[in-house]
Amino acid sequence: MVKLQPTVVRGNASEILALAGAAGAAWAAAAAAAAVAMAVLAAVKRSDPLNTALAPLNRARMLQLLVQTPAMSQPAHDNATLQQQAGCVTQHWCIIEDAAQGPKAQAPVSNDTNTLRVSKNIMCLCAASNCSGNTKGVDSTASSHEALGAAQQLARTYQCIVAVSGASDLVGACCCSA
Amino acid sequence: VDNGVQMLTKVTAAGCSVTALIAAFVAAAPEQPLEATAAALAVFG
Repeated sequence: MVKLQPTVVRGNASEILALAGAAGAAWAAAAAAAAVAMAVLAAVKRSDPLNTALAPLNRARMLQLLVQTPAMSQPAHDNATLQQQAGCVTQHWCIIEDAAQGPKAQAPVSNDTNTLRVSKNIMCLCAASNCSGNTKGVDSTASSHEALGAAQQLARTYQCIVAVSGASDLVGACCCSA
Repeated sequence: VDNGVQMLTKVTAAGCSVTALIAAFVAAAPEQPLEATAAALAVFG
């Protein structure tokens, strides 16, 4: 995450708790979802909207693929299922990489492509982690306010904006929250 | 941002959708990412 330098990290309360290391490895699936969100936002940050290696169409395609990633909609109850889903996500990231490179596939690797590759590595790490127990996909079992401390920690650690989505949304940067 | 709907937390892909919306808002206003993020969440509910 330090390398990605995300502008915004968005997750529900459970995902933010997981990213902050407050909920243990059992929440790796939720962390993976938040990592994807963070990675896309990092890609946006690194892209000049008017002069970018990612054509607007490709960026739209990238977001479309992210929204359609089926692994995010299925709860994982065991390690094998989790790894299968993470593999599916990784496969989508391969497609996203292809879309991002587009007609410039033969050109030197851009910073944006590097960002996406780092993101895929995050997914691989999640897949390889020994996850078990009460994994509940991307459904949050905590309220946004329960993740306030974790969100502040993330904002301080990565010097980014952290958004906790839920029935009530929290948005903050560094040590401040709004 | 306290204009959310509890039911939306049960809807599949709502989180991904709001992430995409945040990305769009931040891309449109890269100099004001905090305000853009808050605006996106306010719009999404």
